[in-house]
Amino acid sequence: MTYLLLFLAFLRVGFFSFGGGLAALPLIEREIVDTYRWLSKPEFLELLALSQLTPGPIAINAATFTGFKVGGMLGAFVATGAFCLPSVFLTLLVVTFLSRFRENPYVAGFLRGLRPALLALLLRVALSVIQDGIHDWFGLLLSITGGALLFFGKIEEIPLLLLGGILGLLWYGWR
Amino acid sequence: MIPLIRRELVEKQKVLSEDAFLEALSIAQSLPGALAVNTASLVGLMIGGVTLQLAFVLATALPSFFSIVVLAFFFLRFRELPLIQAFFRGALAVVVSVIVLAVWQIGRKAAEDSVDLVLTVVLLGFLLVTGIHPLFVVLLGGGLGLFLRR
Repeated sequence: MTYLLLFLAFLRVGFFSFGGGLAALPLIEREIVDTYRWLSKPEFLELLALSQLTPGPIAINAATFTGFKVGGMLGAFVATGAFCLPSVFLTLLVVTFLSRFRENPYVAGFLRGLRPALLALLLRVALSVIQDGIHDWFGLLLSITGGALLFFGKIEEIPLLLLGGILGLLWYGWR
Repeated sequence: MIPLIRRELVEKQKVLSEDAFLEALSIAQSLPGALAVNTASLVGLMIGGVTLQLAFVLATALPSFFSIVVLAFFFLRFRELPLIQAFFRGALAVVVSVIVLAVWQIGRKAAEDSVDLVLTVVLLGFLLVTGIHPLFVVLLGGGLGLFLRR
């Protein structure tokens, strides 16, 4: 039963995750944290941090991680496969029948209309990480300093994450 | 991952033209799913049909799959340790900066006119107030696009 639920949950994510991994996060969080409680909220945030540290697509990482936690290797396989299935199916459909599908006015209108939806989802992600990821003034300080360093191109993402982790270790670890 | 696919297939192996690659990339961007998986799937189909498509999709997903399985295996055992928690508390604070900055950079380009801005605010409000499944926001945005943007 769990495998079927994993399959359906990540199939939904796969079919509706337009516009990149970040915009897919509310969908993923909805399925794995809110609906099925496969991951707790803190675990979901830790998964987010782990995903930023590894090169693969966020949604694949989330599928594999959640599947593995809930159902071991088979669970990981089912969840990851379910997420990729819509890609396989839709690309096959497009190449076989709809090579000019984006010139269709309805498709173009739908895709154009996705922009504000994706923006809303992205803002939702930003709001919830601000709310859940910062707990105290030290976190706020780290976050603002890190943001400024990134913005001015003084540091890359992965070194910044490791640095943040090490500073967290020093600050929260010995207290 | 996208530049790697391009270098391998267009420059080294020369099994795909630059134009075909760009076509695949732009189709991949308009479909749901991970960009790397969509692109791999499309170029697989273009070069060698369904068998190659499946092989490419597997090859794209497997490295992530195995590295996350290994990570998850250890992480799920040790995440409760105070030192690991301290590390993640610090890392998460800068994950916030990474994500907020990425949202800002994508968002600045994505909103083209005032209709986009108004709809964004409406959809965000809808999402926050009603707590509906985010997939309905996607459908609603696309559906409104059918009327307003055709």
